[in-house]
Amino acid sequence: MTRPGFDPITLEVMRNGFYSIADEMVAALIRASYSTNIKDRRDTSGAIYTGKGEVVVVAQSEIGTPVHLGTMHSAVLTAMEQYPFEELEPGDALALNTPYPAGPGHLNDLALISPIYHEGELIAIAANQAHHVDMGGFAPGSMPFGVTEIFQEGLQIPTVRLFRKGELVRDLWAVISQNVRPQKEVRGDLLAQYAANNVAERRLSGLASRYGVEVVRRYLGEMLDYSERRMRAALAQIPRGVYTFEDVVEGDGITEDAITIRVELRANGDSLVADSTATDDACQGPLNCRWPSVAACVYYVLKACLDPELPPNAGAYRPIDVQVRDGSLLSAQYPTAVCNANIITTQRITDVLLGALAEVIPERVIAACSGTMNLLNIGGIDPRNGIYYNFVETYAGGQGAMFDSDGMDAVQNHMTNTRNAPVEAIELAYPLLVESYGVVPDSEGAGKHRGGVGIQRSLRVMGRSATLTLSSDRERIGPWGLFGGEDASPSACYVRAPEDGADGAEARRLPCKITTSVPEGHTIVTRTPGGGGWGDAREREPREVARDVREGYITAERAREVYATVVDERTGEVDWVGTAGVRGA
Amino acid sequence: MGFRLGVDVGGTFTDLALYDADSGRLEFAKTPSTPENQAVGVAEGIGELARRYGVAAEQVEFFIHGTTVATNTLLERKGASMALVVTAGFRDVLQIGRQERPSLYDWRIRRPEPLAPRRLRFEVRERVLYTGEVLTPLADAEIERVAAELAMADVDAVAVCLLHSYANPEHERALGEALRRSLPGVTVALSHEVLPEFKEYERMSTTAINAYVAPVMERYLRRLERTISDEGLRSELYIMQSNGGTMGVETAIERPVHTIMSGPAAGVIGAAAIARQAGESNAISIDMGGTSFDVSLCYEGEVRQTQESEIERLPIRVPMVDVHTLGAGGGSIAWIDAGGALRVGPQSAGAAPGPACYGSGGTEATVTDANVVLGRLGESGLLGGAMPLDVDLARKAVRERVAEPLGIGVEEAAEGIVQVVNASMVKGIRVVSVSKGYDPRDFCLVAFGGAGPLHVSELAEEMDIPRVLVPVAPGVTSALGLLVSDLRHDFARTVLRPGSDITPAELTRWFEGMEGQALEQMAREGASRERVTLARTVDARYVGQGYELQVAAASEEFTRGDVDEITVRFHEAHERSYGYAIRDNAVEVVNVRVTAVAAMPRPELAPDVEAADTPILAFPHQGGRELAAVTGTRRVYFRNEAVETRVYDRGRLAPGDTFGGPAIVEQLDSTTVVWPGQRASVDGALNLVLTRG
Repeated sequence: MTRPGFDPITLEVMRNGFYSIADEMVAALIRASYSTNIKDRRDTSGAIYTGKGEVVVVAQSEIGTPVHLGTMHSAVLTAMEQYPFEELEPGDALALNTPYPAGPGHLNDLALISPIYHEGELIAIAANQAHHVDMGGFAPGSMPFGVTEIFQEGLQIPTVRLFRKGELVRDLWAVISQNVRPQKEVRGDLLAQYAANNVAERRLSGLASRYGVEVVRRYLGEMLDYSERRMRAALAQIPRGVYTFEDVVEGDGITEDAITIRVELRANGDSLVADSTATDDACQGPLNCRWPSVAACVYYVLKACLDPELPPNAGAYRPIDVQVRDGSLLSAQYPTAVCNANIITTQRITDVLLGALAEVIPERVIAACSGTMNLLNIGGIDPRNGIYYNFVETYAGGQGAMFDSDGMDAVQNHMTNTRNAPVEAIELAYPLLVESYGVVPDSEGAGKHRGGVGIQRSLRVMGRSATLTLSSDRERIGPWGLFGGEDASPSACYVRAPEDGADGAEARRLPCKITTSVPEGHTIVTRTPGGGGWGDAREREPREVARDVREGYITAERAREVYATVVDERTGEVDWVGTAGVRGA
Repeated sequence: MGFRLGVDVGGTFTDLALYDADSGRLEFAKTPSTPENQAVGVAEGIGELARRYGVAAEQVEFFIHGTTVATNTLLERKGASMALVVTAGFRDVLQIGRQERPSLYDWRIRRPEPLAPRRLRFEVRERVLYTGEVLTPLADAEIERVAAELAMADVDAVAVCLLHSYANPEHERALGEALRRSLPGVTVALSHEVLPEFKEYERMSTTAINAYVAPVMERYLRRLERTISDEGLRSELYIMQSNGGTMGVETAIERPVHTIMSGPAAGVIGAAAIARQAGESNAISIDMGGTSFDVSLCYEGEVRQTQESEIERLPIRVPMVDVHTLGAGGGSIAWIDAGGALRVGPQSAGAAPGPACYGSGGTEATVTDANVVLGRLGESGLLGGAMPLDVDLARKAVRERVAEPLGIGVEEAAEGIVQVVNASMVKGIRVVSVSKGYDPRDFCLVAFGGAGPLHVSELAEEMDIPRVLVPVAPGVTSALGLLVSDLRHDFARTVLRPGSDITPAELTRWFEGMEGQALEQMAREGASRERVTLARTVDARYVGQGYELQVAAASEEFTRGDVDEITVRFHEAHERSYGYAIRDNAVEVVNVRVTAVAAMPRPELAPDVEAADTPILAFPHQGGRELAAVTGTRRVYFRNEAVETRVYDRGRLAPGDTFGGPAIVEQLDSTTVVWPGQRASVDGALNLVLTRG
C-alpha cells in the first residue's frame, strides 16, 4: 500500500496509530500527575503536530476542556516563532503559559512542547497543556477578581527551554517555584507533562522506523486534508446567509456594566466567516481573551452542531475565518487582564454562536446551557499541617433543551467537561467540610422540552480563614430558552455564618465575580443556573410534568403555574380534569 | 476424583467442558442458550454430555458456572425496585456522578438514569469525618424514621452508602441491622461491606449495582440449584467471578456485583491456561466474535486486573480481569465517511440479517464478506457446511458499498476492509499492552472466538509479536477457562496515611484481619487452610497523587524495615511506569489488599476432541503427515495477489505436523489464516502454533 496521493485505507490505518499515541500521552499525564485538578478533574489536553506546528491529532478523551482546541494550536505556533527550534535537541521541551501574543487562555494553562526527532530528523511535534493549580499572583489559584493587568494574575512564562536532555532546568525551576504557592504539586504536574511527551516521542519514533519518516509526515498532512474535506461537507449543511446574535457578560468584577458580545456568521457554502468585530471594547477586569479562545468556541460549536465525530485539527480550521477586532474584549492588548475569560467569556461566545445558528438550523442547536463554569477557588494555610493549599473546582449546571428532548440535569456544559472532586477526597485533602451537594429543584428553564436543573454545593471553611475567588455569571438573567421556551434560573452564591439559620436566610449574598476572605466556620453556598427550555411549557406532556413533580425536580405549584399541569398530590399522577381546566382545552 | 464440569452461558450458545480427573479426559459440548431461563439450557447441555459420553450426573464433583445474569440484568435494566439511603445533604450524588457529560461534542448522548430514582433516595441525619470521627451521631429515632419510610416505599432492595463509611462503618452497620430486621425479604447492601474504599460516588455506584442485581441473581441461582439437583448432580455449585476466580453460590448471591464480567473472565483465564501449557507465561488474548473484539493481557502467568471498570458508564470498583472491548467483529459494517475515508464499524449487521454472504437479506459489506471475497473463508462456510456462504452476494456488497465509491477493485476493497478493522484491533491491543507499559514483542498472541483466528496473523505481524497460538477448540475457550479456575477472594481496606506514619504492628493487624476473613470464607466454601494461598499487596502513591500503583508486601510479621521496603518498591514501580521517581517525596498507603486463592484440581491441557474413545494425555510426536490433512486448494488473496492456497482440515492435523504459509486451516467453529512466509505447526496439546518462517 504505497501509492502516491490519497489512499483512504492507509489513512485509516495511520489515523488509528496517531490517535492511540495521543491518547496514551494524556493517559500517562493523568496517571502521573499530582494535583486534583489534573488527576481527578482531568483539566488537560494532548496533541500531535506536524513539524510546521499544525495541530493534527488531539487526544480523544471525553473528559477535558474543548477550550484547549484553539489554544493548543496557537501555543505551538507561537513557540516556533519565539524560539529557534534548530537549537533544540532530543529530550528538550519548551514551556509557555502566556496568552500574549497567542498561546494558552490563561497563565494556569502551561503548554509543554517537544519536537520529536527520528535519526536526527524532525518528524513531528508533541505538546500537552495542563491547568496548574497555581501560578502565583494576587490570589491562590491565580484566577482572581479585582485585577486589571496580567502582571497581577501570576507568573508569565514566555517560550523557554524548561527541560534540557530530560532534566527540569534547575535555574528556571528555581524561579518558578519561588513564585507559585503549592510547589510540590506544580513540580509533580510538570514532570507528568514531560512524561507524556516522552510517550509520544517513543511511539512516533517507533512509527517512523516502521513506515519511514516520509510516510509518517505524509499521513500527518493527509489527515489535515481529510478533516478539511469533512469540515467543508459539514459547513455545506448551513444554508448560505448571514446570521447574527448577541448576549452579555454581567460585569467584570469592577463595574456592573454589561459587556456585549456580538457575532455575525456568514455562511458561504463550504466555508464560513465568524465575525465578532462588533463586540464591545476590552473591559478592565480579567474577562478579556485573545483570538485562540474565540477560535476554540467557533470550532467547538461547528463540530458539535454539524459533525460531532469530526477529528478537529488545523485542516478542519482552514475553511473557517475567525475575525476579531484588536482592542475588543475578544482581542485584548497586552497587558490587559485575562485570567477568567476561560471560565466565563468562552461560555458566552458559545451561547452567541448557538443563538445565531438557532434560526437557520434549529434542530442542530441547543438552548442556552448554564453559561458559566462557575469556578470556586478556595486557598490558604491548612491548619492541620501549616502547608499552603489551594482547592479549585468548576461546577456543572443545567443543559439546554433541544427541539425533541430535555436537557440533562446537573452536567458540565460546552467549553468544559472536567469532573468534580469527590466529597471524601475534598475533606481528606483540604480543611473543608462539604455540607451538601445536590440538584436545585425548580431551576430549569421551562418548556415543552425543559432545560436541565442546576447544582448546589455548600462548603464550610474549617479551622482558619481562607481566600475565596468566585468566578461566575448569569447571576441577573438566567440562560435563555428557544422558540417559546423559558429562561432558566440564574446563579447565586452566599456565605453563611455559623449563627445564621440553616436555610441561609441571614446569609451574605456575594457578587458573582469576587476575590474575598471567608472566616473560619463560615459556609460558602454556590448554586449554578439551569438550562433554557424549548417550546411552550404549557404544551409539555403532562405525564412528564407529573414525573418531575414525583421525583422532586419541580414543585407542584410550579407545575400548575408554569406548566399548566395539575398533579394529584396523593398519587403523584396527572389530574387530567384539573389539567384540562388550567390549560383551557 | 470425579468429573469437573464447566458451563459457560453466552448470548447464543451454552458451552460445556467436562474433565475427568482420573483419566485426564476432556470433552466439549455446545447447546443453544435459553435466555428466558438460563437454567433450562444448562440442564439440556448436561443431558447432552451425559448421552454423548456416558457420564452420569452424580459423577460430577465440581460444577463451575459462568453466567451473564448479573450483566444482562444491569444492561437491560431488569433489576430490583431499589432504594438508596445516604447521608443527609447528599441525595443526588448517585445522579450527578462525576458531573461530566458522556460525550464532549454530542449533546444527545445522555448519562444513564441512576439505578435508584430520586424519589427512592432517602437521607439520614448523621455525619462521619474522614478520620472516622463522628460529627453528627445517628439517632435511633432517625433509623426508625427511615426504616418506616422504606417500608412504605415497598422496594425489593436497599443500598446504603454513608459518607466516609470506609473509615468508620458504625453508622452503616447500625442502619443495616435495623433494616434487615424491619424489612424481611428485602436485600440490604452496605457500602462498607461491598467496597470499603474511599470516593463516595464509585462506592455508592458499586453498592447500588450489587443491590440492584441481587434479587434477580438469587432467584436464578436458587432455580439453577434445583434444576441441577433434579438432573442428579450432587456437586457444589461454583460461580465464575469477574476477577477470574470462582466463589461459592452463597457468596455470589450476596455479592453478585463480582460476577459482572463472569463470561469474559472465563475466556481470558482459559486462554492464559492454554498459553501457560504451551510454555508462554506472557500472553495477549483476543476474542473476536460477530459484533465485538475483546482483548486482555496476562503477564508472568498473572492475568492483568483492573479496579476501575465501568459498565454502561456506571462505575464498578471491584477487581476484574482487564478486558478491553471494541465494536469490531465479523458483522461490522464497512462505510465511507464524509471525509472520504474507509471506516469499519461500530455498526454491525448482527445475526439478522447478518453479513451479505449469509444470504438472509443483508446488503451491507461486512468484515465477513471481505474475508469471503478474499477467499479466506470458504464457500462451505461455518459449522462444517451447515451454514454455506454466498461469494457472489459478498462480492456484490463489497463492490457496491466500498469498491465503486472509492474507485478501486473488489479484492482491493476487501483487503482494505480487513486492514482497517485490523488497525482498530491493533489500537485495542495497544490499550492493554503499550499504554500500560508492556512491550507486545514479549508476548504470544492467543486467538479465539469464531473470527479471531482469521485475523490473528496480520495482527501479530503488525504488532511484531513473534508467536501465535490458536487453541484446539477456539469456540469453547470460556468453558475451558472455568475448568482451570481457582477459588478466589479479594479483600481490601482503605488506609490513606503516609507510609512513615504506619507502625509495623498496625500493618500486621490489618493484613491478619483480612486474612482471617478470607480463610473463614474459604472454609465456608469447602477449602481447607492448607489449600489456600494468601498474597498481600499495598496500593501506594506519592502524597498528593490520585492514582495508585500496587506493590507486594510479603512479610508475615512486619518490622520497620519491611514497611520502609514497601516504600522503596513503590519508588521502583513508579520509575518503571512513568520513567521517574521522586525519592524525597512521602509515599502514602491508600489501600491494603489480601488475595486468597484455593487451587482446584485442574486438567492437564492435552485434549482429545476428535476421538472421544481414546483418552490421551499427551500426543505422540508423529509429524510429517500434514499432507494427509489437505482437503484441496483455493485462490486466496494476500496483498492484492491471488495465490493458490492449500486448505487443511484442522481435525486431521496431528502433533508434530508442520507446514508453511500461505494456508487455510478449517474447523467446525473457526478458520485460521496462515500468511505467506509464516510457519504453522501443531504442538502436543493440538494448538496450532504460527511463527515467522
